Amino acid sequence: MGRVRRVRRSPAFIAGAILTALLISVALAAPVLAPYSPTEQQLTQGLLPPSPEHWFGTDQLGRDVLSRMLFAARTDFGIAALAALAPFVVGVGAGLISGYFGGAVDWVASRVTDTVIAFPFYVIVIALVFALGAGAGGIVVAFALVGWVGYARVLRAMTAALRESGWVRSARGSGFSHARVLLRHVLPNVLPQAVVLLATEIVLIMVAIVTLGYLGLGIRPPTPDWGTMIADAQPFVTTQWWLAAIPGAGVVLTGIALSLLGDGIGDLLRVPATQGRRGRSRPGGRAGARAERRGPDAPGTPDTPGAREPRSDDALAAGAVSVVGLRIAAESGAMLVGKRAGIDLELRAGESLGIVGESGSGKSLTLRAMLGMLPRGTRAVDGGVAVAGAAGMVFQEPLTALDPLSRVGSQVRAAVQAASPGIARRATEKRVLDLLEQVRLPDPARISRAYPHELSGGQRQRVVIALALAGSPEVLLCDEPTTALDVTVQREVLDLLGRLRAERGLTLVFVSHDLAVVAEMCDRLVVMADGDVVETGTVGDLIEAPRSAEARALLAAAPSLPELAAPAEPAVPSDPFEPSVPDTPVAPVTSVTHRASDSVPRRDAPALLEVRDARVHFGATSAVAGVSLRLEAGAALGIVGESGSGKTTLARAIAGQLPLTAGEARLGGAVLGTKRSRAELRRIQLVPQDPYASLTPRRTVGSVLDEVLRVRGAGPTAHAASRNLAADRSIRVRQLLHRVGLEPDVADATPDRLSGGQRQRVAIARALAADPQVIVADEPTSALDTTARARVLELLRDLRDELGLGVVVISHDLGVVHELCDRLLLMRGGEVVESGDRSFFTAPRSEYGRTLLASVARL
Amino acid sequence: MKRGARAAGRILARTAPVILGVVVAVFFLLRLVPGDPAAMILGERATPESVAALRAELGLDAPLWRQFTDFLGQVVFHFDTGASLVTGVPTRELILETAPVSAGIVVLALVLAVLIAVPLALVAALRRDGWADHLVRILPAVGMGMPLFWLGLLLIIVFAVQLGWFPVGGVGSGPGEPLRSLFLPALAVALGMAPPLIRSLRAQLIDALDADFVTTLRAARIAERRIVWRHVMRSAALPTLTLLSVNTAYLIGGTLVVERVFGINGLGSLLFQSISTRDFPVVQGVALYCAITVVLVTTVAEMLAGVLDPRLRAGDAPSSAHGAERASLIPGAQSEAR
Repeated sequence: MGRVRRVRRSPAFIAGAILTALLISVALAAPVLAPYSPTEQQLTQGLLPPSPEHWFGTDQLGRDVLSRMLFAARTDFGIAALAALAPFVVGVGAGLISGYFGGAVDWVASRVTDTVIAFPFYVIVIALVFALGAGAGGIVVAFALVGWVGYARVLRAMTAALRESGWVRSARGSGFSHARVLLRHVLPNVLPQAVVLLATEIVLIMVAIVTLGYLGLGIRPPTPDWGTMIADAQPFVTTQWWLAAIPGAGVVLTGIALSLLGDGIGDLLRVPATQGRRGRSRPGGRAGARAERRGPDAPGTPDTPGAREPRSDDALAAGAVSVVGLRIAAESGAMLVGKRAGIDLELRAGESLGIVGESGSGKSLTLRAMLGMLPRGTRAVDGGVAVAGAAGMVFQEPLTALDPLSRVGSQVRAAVQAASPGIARRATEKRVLDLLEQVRLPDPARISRAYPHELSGGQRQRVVIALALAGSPEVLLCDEPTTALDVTVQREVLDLLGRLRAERGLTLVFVSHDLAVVAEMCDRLVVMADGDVVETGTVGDLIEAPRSAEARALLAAAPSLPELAAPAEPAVPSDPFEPSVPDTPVAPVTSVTHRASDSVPRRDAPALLEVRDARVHFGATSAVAGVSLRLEAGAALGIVGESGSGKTTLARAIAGQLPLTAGEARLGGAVLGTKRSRAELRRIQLVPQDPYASLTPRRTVGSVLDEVLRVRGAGPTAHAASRNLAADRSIRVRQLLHRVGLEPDVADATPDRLSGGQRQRVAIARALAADPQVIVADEPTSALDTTARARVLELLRDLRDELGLGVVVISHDLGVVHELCDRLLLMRGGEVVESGDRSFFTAPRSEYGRTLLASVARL
Repeated sequence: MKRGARAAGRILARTAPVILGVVVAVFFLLRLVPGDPAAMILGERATPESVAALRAELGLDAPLWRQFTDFLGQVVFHFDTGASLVTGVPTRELILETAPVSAGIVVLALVLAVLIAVPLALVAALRRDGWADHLVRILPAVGMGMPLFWLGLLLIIVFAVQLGWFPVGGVGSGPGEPLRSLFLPALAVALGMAPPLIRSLRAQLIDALDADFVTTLRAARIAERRIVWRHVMRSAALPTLTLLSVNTAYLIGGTLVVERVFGINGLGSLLFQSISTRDFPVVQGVALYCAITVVLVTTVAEMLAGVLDPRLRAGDAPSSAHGAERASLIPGAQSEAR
């Protein structure tokens, strides 16, 4: 079905397949097609030009060139196919093993590969064939010795990358053997690339065989071969040039056929592009996602004049923005923005407008239209935008928003020069430092000399803001400027933007998926959904009385943290680790302990999971420095922290994906070994962070779940382990899908057909299939849209309450932890800063906890 | 600077075993010969006495480890793989005699390849999906299956025989003559190397043009010309350097084959001549010198990239990087750099 359609859409594949098939059948049919014997000499008929009797003429011995071409094709194709086989098998195997296992195996394999690659291909092949003896046998052995390195190199790199992917880690976590992970999960995903390589390698081998023949090291005469034919023809190039040209053309034609075939196979086997990985940054629909990756058109893409015109720039006061009847479409013609009606927006100078909506709602595209730089592959088809004065823009991803190879100062300088051409050098320098100071960067002179990678994410975002300010804009456009930042950094950047706006009287357009952030920054709000404006109004009205379903959903998803109590008594930073155990036991209770209280016997329910003084080091770096925690069945523990706090490392160590450097983990009282058994691995299941990378591509959901059940030996009922039948398992698969709230027919879908929320639920179902006692969810909602987010949280709550699982939630989002968890562990720099119950949200005991809570944008 | 020295040390630690591997491989080249190498070298009409004498001369009588240490000593102390069996001249001298011509072709080919590939890739990347782009993208398919020696023959037919612009073969003497004689062979090698180069370079440029920072710079109204030349080209330059160094082996191998077509007395002719006279030590020597050259060029290129890229210049010591960079060096911690 899908495959046939893709075949039809790849002209390279069709052309390559037809051409290759044609060449092979001609070669196979050589004895039938050839008009003469390839070796029959007619010395009187030598060196004849092409004629009806001899289409390609005759050679110096009077042999028919066409017949020799056909038979030579047969020989050369045969040897090439034979010679390509062994390197493929050896190279794929070596690449898989060296990339998957790493360490010493990888080091040795890589050095051997480097050694073989150091020899120029022709030099080593010629030397080998010389040593082994010319002819087919020598050629095949020589290629077996040399040809595998290409595969080994590429596959090693791919495998090493896949090894760290969520789905390979999960496969290991399901208790699968290395062999199963390699053969069933890794190999199918690297094989397409290997097959594409195979096509190019066959071309290389063909050319090499012909070259060896030309050099007199290949096929022995009188067997015809294209290489020896060219060598024989060389003395006659000045008179009978076609004798050399025709066999060469044969090689080139073969090369074209196989190259096209290889490209085509690559097209076919590639998993269809994942729809928007990070939901939030997707400007709209499938086409939009592709368009965004390609980047923008040249600046100032002219807007197609439409029926209605925005007011001309002159008619607007400086800083005003007018959008009238705007419609944006993908190049394919699909309407992305303004599906039902064109977008109309009016901003007076100095006003602030927030645009909120889920991914794909068209909010970022609308903003880009205001900047006059629509992404490549999209264009305004109707209506228009008028901005009075200059506009600057702040982007979402500070880590990639600056050229890593240029100093910060030189990038700001270029922007300053672009804004005021002909500005003197000294004035430029002063303006650069001035701008860096305006965005409150410490020591502007030093920052100006720094490269972007030497700055933190927050500092880089300040530089991006400085770039936007360089043109002294009247209008500032912000596209999710704080989404990629930590909570405390987000707070600082929001404060900076607010201050700049007040100081300069900027008109602000602020796009975000986060209603709380937008509400804080803006006076008026626009809610977009599916390319259309569904609601507009003041912030107050919209929060008090949302009219549209979309606005209500966004409102419901906004974090509803309780008010932070004023720090009544001086907080006790002296001992932030003291466990706070409620006097009246509330069941179920998760309690969190730290080293200070290890020895204190717990009087609560017996611990399901207990971690004592866990440490994880990577070389000299300590990622987790002594963390202890306790979790009971039917309870949820939140581990909160910003980037680099060590929370994900801790999660992976709990799940057994990383060994503890020191300390121990106990499950149900039994110590878990450094090298966990498969059964132990299954007991604690990690749901990886990114649902778009957590499921084995190309495999149906059903087969993924079934595999876990089969390897575990489980049937539909708990005691049916002995009756491990396919039919029983398929019932169990349906039960699992039902458990996570998915329809049974999802079992037949491959991950690329599922939404982010569905994938996350499949990932949870796979974790459940392993029959765990503890589920560790790493940022379960950070890649999801608001509605999907709420439903995944509800599911996790059900698992905790109904199945009595222990749930550990890792998150940077205090809202998620507040909704789900009874207890909480606050981490920073690998250490526990505070541990406590839900009273943390109103009265945190640590200074850092208070800062964090105060930084959260609230409605 | 200390960090730079440490980075250089790391690269050398990876290079040394490869050089040793090359020497081992060259040593075993002779031992790959099925049966007795001495008999193979002397051919069918050799007497048992002469075979025994050659065995002794090649040191094939000694135990294997002894043969290897002797060979290693020869390579390390004399940069040699033994005397030619035909002329008795040390292999090293034969190679140093013929290498300059080959080196000339290699360098010229490299320059030509860059001159051909960079403009075409740039045009294709800047006019993406335009007709120029489609044309440039067809090139690799055609070029892949083009045997270098055949390409050389075509160039001879067109430019030397038909047009008479260049000599048909050999290296002429006189002012400018060597360059004129080496131009066609170098062009053949460059044309053979260009298609994959164009393909990767186009991909690099498109990646750079699509980078987020280009959008940022455009939004700051910086002129497109400046963005392309100062930022896009620069970020594509580093991968190109790596790409060229990786292709050194191809350049050298291609040069050796093409020399044969043009009848130029370089390393290639030495190799083929030695093969026809079964002069094993010389064949080993050519293989060894070529491989060592490739290893050295790659190593130098790698060090150069470390100097040119500010991100590498800082060394990959985790302590020197900030935030996300640090996290990305720690396995498993990347996921935290949201």
